[in-house]
Amino acid sequence: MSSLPITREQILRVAELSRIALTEEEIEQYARELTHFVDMLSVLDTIDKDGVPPTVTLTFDPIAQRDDKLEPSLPRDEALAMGPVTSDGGFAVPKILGGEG
Amino acid sequence: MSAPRDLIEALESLEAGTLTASELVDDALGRIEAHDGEIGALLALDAEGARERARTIDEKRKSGETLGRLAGIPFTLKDNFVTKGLPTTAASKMLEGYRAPFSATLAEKLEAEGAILLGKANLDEFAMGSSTERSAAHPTRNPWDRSRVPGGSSGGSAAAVAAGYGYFSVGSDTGGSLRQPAAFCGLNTLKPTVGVFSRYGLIQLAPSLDQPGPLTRSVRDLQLLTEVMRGHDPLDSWSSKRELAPARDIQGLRVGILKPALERVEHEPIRDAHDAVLETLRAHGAEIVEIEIPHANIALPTYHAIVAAECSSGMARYDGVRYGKRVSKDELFEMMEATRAQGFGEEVKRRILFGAYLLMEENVERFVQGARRARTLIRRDFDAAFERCDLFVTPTTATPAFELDNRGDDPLAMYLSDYFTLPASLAGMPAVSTPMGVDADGLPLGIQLVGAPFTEATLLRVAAAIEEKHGILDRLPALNGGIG
Repeated sequence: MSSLPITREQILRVAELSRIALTEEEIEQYARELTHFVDMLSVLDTIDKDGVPPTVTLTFDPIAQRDDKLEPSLPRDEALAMGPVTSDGGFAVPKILGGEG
Repeated sequence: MSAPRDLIEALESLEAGTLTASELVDDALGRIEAHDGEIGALLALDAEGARERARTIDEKRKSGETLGRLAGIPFTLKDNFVTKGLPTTAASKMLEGYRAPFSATLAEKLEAEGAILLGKANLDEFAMGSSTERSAAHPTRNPWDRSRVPGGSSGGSAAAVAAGYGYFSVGSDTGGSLRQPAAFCGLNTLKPTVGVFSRYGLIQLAPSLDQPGPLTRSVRDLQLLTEVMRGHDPLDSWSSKRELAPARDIQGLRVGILKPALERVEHEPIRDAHDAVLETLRAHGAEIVEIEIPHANIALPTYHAIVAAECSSGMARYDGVRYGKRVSKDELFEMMEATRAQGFGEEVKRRILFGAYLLMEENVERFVQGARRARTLIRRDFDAAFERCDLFVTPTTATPAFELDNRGDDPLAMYLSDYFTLPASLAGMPAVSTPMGVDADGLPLGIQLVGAPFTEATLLRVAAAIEEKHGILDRLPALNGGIG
């Protein structure tokens, strides 16, 4: 039960989706390991799941809703206190591709 | 000071006036000073704050004020619970220097009852691991034998309790991260039914599986903490308003065993200890019945697919924008990619990448929905099993604590160490781990008790009966001076 090996291109695509820069060694290592991982998961293909609903949330009671009323929230300065870079009462980020910043 | 054996005894001494909170805190700080350089259970320590809170409680007690149910008891918290007063890092470089603007509900609840937070305990980075070797700070060593791991991911918490740094710790369990360290360190723990303990302020690994729980020296300590920690929290949407079912008598209880799973255990002392526990339960009038969890053999892939997918999307919050590390770059995505490359350790990157692969449009039905359907099958197995039994027992782990650096080369082998604990996590069922003696090397062994939803009190009663006969409290490093 061996799947096709994960390619360099696939790992690069996954790294892009994950927003993680990888080194050459990491690309090789994770491609190899992801191939094994997919192999391990492929046993799930062999069991009969026809008509079986997926379990997404797991509670034994209905999910509790809070009353829809205004409550105090985190003050802005506290929310910003841990921001690596802030300016004008907001979080500051570098320019987004093609933008002027 | 003659150190109390467990939390309940410490409370009795405090109430009787034979001990003060300051003495308990000083004793814990002395042990930390003497041993933690080598054990490495803690990531942050608040010695001054703890001494001050102890003095306040001692004064209140002197003046006859009403005190909380844990007044004067020092404890530690796994460093994936956010705390306003102390740094919270989840043992990751990503959160170096992070100070949370709020505290986890459980941290507030315990402190409101007078428990004294000593510090934050080590873990595998973002709770991803089973040995605490994957902490970005340093590994933790097992106080029973310093060449061995304490288990993980709540390994710092377990080592802290075993070494006597306070009387309990609160950790978290996603696939066994409380139960396996409890077994490896000779402690008691409860992973509750989903919704019994609040998750608010617990840094997520996989929210459909993450559950908080206490690690304690004795079963009666676990009973008290379950009572103190449970209760509805409007800040956790899965939090339950239900009461726990009353404890049932052991006489007449149907206790299930899983024969095929037992056959996987190669360590003979674990099989022998398990059989001895069954004898004890029979002597108490329990009926032993064989049950099956037919889909237990797919629990491992089911678990890892779900964890990878949930973790991959959850970890997207660490983007270098709102908190945590940022690596300076001129362009937004370059900044995020460099920040995440430098901030996350190897295992965290592995799970994020694997999860992103599973969540790709062409894979999501096969792997993620496939695993969620498999999870339903496992849940149905539990429903069927609880028609035949009231609870079931398994060894908590297939081996005692292993040596450091023993399994680091093969992440898939490391994943196997959670074999017995995964199914109850996938089904959301309550599970207790309690000691069942030691092996020939003097290493502690644990037995797991799994029950139907909200039957915690019965599990704890059965655990108390096991403790009475097979408990190893007197051998705990915390009570033996000669730690490890």
